[in-house]
Amino acid sequence: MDLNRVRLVAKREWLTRLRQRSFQITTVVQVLFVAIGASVPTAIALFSDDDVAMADVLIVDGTGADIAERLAPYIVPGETAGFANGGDTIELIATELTADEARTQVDEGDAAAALIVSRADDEDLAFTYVSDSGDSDSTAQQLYAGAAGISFEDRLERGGIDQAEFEAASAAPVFTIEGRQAAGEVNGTDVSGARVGIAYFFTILMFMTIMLYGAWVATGVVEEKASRIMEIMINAATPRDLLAGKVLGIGLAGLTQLAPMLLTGGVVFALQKPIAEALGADSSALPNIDFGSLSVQGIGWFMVYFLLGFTLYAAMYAALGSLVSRQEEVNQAVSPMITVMFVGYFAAFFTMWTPDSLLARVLSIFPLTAPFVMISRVVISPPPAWEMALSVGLLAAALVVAILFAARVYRIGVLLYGQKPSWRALFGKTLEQTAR
Amino acid sequence: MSLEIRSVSKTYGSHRAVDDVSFTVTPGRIFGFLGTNGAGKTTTMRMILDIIRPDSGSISLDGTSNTSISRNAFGYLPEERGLYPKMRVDEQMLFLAQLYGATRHEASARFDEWMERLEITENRERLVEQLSKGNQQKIQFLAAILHDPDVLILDEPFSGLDPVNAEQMKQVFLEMRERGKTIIFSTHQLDDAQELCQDVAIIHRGKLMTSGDVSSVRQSLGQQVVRFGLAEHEPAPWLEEIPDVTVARDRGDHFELKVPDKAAAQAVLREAIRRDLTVSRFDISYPSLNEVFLSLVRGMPEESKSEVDREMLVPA
Repeated sequence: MDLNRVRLVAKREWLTRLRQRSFQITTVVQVLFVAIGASVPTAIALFSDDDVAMADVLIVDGTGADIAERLAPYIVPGETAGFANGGDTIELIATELTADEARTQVDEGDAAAALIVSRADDEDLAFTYVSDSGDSDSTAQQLYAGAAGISFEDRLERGGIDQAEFEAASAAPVFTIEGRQAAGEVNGTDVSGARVGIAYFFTILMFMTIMLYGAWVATGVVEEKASRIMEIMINAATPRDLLAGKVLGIGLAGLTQLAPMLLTGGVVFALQKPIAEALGADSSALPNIDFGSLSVQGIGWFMVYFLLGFTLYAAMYAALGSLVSRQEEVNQAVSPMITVMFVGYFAAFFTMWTPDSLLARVLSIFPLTAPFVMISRVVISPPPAWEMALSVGLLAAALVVAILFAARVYRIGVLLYGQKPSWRALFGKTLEQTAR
Repeated sequence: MSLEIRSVSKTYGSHRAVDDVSFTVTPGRIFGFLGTNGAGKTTTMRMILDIIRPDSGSISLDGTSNTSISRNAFGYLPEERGLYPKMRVDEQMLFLAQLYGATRHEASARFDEWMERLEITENRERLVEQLSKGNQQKIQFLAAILHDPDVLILDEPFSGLDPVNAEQMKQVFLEMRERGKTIIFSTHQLDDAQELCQDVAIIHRGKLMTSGDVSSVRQSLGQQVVRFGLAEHEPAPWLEEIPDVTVARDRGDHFELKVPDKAAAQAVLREAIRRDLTVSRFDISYPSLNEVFLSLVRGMPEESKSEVDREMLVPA
């Protein structure tokens, strides 16, 4: 391996891509899209602030028993009302409206719900809850709890039982709630939607970039064959140098395109909290994740798997590309490999909600699917260190094998024109001839 | 550097592309490698360049195997011309020269010199695809020599060149010879070979038919050609009656005769004088390379069609 020659070839490949107008435009557009995409949490927080007002519940009190005041303690602070249109904290509003006027207000959307209270013939309190969705919202449940309590107290009063004594006897038990795991990690299956969103992004990006830049390698090889400059190149440098330089140069061009996008996306995403606050959005509406460390981890692991995965696939793209003579034949030549990539790609999606399943663990260690599946696992629920080490180690080993094999195929392939070498002939030749 | 090819063979499948070929190329002399299409010229050249390896035999430069010789010892002009069509001429030439191992500085100086020498300086910054065919050929030639190789391997260097450009390239060839380069070029245009070469080898269907310096190859048929013209050109049946003389052709203003030696030629002249005819032309020479080539190749049995087809497909 002559590093000087590898560097020369790589530099030419890199510069050629960078000078292409399409490359420059794509790079800029990607930065813009990712900046927008990374701002989705802030956008959601902003919208939730605008759309959802206090959930007003009108209390139409025909009893004179201060129902609104006595209900207030039963409403859980901070609990959302759960109305069909979203909803915020329940706000009880005592009103002088008649029952029918209150119903009209609910119909017209001026109030989220109304609670109409009257005394039945037997002097018991009668509650009627009016809302768009009836009993399917959580406000109805909270109000039912309140109504039950008030009715009970009311009956005690009317029955002449001393309230203080009763209260002492019926004091609430000590009941503590203890959470054992942070949100999103309960049993490894309760996965945070925000993390899945990021995993989607990285998996799709991994697939698209490896496929796009890999195709550049294959078409580049075929171009050199079709224009016949390969005849000179193969004399000036060894096939291995040419292969290494090509993969390296296109990989660098890919990084040049990816880096601004990932940096922009990472910074914007990491700063979601400050940005949301600066824009006056309710930052409590942001997903409960650590934006900063997720950015750093996600991008870091993406780079590791992109570099290894791209090189592995690019070497195979080059070898397959070297076996055909015309651009039209490239797609057909690389299709078996694309199928393998698709397996990894779809497996990443299938296992996104079950990142610790056996399938996910096996496919995130198998080198050909690891780049797609592991990047999704890393973001959703970081696997144990030994699995990461095994995955990266196997990928690196597969890489070395792929490059050595690709260099041999390449050496035979670049001088074949119009022939369809059988795999047997190809393997036979590669075995019998030592690569230069 | 002296290039030695020793008993080299290469087989593709059941097809013997090169069969036990041996010859030597001496520095400071131009070596012509002659053969029909598919005779095995390109395969042999690729083996010299170590692009493909022979099944048997050896190739060495000054006694060192070509497999351990540095790449920049060789300059190669492939038969199928090829450059990056969308790359600038200057960038491309410096790239290729550096890929061969020249420094940027050396390559740049030689590039300037040669662009001027070939009168194409105005094309420096153009894309290769924007050049005329002739200029592309010149650039392709520069790609083979800018790293200053000791051995030049040129596959059909004159094909596609107009007469003016071809003449310019021939001058460059002669200059390269003066600089002591080892030059081997293939051609099926035998006039070019006869004009430029000191040594030739004729290859046919993978086998070497003959090789050596041009005059010995021309003498190898054991025949001489007499061009014999009379002031008044008319049928001369008496020529056939002279022993050992064959009339090969009637060229309209002279006859071409085949004779085994100078004595037979003298007999022709004596007979003309005896018949009181005015001789306007009389020269004796060895057969041209073209004639040697044709008589060697025609002596071979016809190739079967299938073999020719296969040879076109195999990287021959």
